[in-house]
Amino acid sequence: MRARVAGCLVAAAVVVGLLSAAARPTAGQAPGTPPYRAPRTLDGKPDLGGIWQVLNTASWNIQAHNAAEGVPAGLGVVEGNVIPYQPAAAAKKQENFEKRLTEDPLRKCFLAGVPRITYMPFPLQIVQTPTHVGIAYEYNHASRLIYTNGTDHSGVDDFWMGDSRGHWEGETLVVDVTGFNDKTWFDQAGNFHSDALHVIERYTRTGADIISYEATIEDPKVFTRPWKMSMPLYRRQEKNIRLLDYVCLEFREPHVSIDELVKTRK
Amino acid sequence: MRNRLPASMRVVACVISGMSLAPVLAVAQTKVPAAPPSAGKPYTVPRTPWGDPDIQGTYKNVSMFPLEARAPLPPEGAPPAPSGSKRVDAGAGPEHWYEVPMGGTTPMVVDPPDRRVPYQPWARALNTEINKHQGENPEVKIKREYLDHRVRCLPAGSPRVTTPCAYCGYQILQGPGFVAFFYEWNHLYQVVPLDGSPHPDPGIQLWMGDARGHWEGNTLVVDVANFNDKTWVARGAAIHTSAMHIVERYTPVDRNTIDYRVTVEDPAVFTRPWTMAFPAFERYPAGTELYEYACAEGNAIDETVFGVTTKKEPK
Repeated sequence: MRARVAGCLVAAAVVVGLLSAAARPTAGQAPGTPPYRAPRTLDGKPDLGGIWQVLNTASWNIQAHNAAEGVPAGLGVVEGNVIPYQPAAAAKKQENFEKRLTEDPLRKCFLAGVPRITYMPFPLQIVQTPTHVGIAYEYNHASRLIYTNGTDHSGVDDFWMGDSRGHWEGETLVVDVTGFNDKTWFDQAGNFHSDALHVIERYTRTGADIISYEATIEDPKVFTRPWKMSMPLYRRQEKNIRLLDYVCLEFREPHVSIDELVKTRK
Repeated sequence: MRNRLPASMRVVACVISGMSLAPVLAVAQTKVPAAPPSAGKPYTVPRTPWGDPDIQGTYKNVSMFPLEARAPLPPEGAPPAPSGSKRVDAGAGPEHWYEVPMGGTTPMVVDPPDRRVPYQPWARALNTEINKHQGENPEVKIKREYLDHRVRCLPAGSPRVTTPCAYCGYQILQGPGFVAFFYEWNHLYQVVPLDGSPHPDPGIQLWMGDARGHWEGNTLVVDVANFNDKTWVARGAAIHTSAMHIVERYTPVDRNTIDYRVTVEDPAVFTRPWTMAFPAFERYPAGTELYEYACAEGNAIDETVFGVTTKKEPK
């Protein structure tokens, strides 16, 4: 329901945008240039396929922040830089911040959640079919299946990565994500949500090597209104690029090295 | 043809999935015939719009199978149900997690002819030693580094990720130039490029290996290298080094079934290359979706295997 309302608003915005495009060029776009039209998949949808990665510091802090030891400074990715916490939630966020080095869910090797997984400083790979958009993430070997087959949410209510249903609005893949648990954070600075989290993601190719990524965040238990973050995803240019491994538990568990035992036991 | 695990098995199965299936398997073998051979009239494989054989869909295991012939069966009733153990989300998963198809009696190893993994003697000895640490011998104090990596929520590795297991569904997606496998167990994936590109530098080690594929008729042939030395070829401590190299063959044999054949080479551990073959994937009813399996997030082995009381998760 919320998705449909949002869809109507978006459709209206697109119309307005098209009408005024010639008169109101967007940043980096020459006056009179039509909006970027992405190459198409065989079923005629914008092709999001490839290996992409953010170049930002949002996983440490989605808001503007100065550098700290081990944390690069960043301009923030939150629209207006304000996260509209309810008063009790603002206090909880502060508490999280103070305990962030131990209580960030990533310290326990847990799944990063959505949208945080998108802006981890690791690449992700999108594979696209007419019925599914699969995203493979290098960080923790996480993955997501976004259903674009017209199905509605499955009704799950405790997924770390949520339940993702997508549809296309022109150039944009719009993904409605619900069914979250309350255990992930938006960043290492302790920005958090409840199990009422609802995320609307928008993936739009704005160039040959750029996806504009937006996430609208709703959570009536934590925030006073919806808010939005946005950032570019850049295509990795290396010819031999592939996802590698960052398996968090690998560095916490002991291992038998068969490579070493071959030398001594054989 | 599926046995539903009783509720009491769920906790054990979740915690020690690699071990808990053995006793159920032994029971089920008497009731359920082996999977029917995939012979019959030739199957015309559908094609994708770009002309590749179309094997897309959501699949489950066909059956559990023992790895090799004459494998010593685990003792009756093993493993003991850990008393007082709790899993936060025990029983919270979808039905299909508890409907592990049982009954395969044919070993997965088809070559060598004795259907045994051709370990070098030192490797067989190590295999036996590691297997003692899987919770089936109450007198053995388990060495954590010997405990099944999969039970510790580390990636299953290849080809183990394709060998039958509980909580294992498979989503196969295809596009021009790739076949992508999304595995339900621990949200693993393997995106296989079909562009003839080479493996990366041999120094790169990956839990799932680096997979490069091509089609031979209706068979997807995948060459996988760049492994680490921390995974098992299959359950039961089938150890290997980082020099392992495997060639996988996925062949759709009817609308609902994909056969799997994999040849494993690792001269440091085995006396010769060897091959496993079994029907791997059976198509789920239309509309079935994979569930989220967040392994590290629900793992209770510190408590149930090592007796350490773990901190409660902060609310």
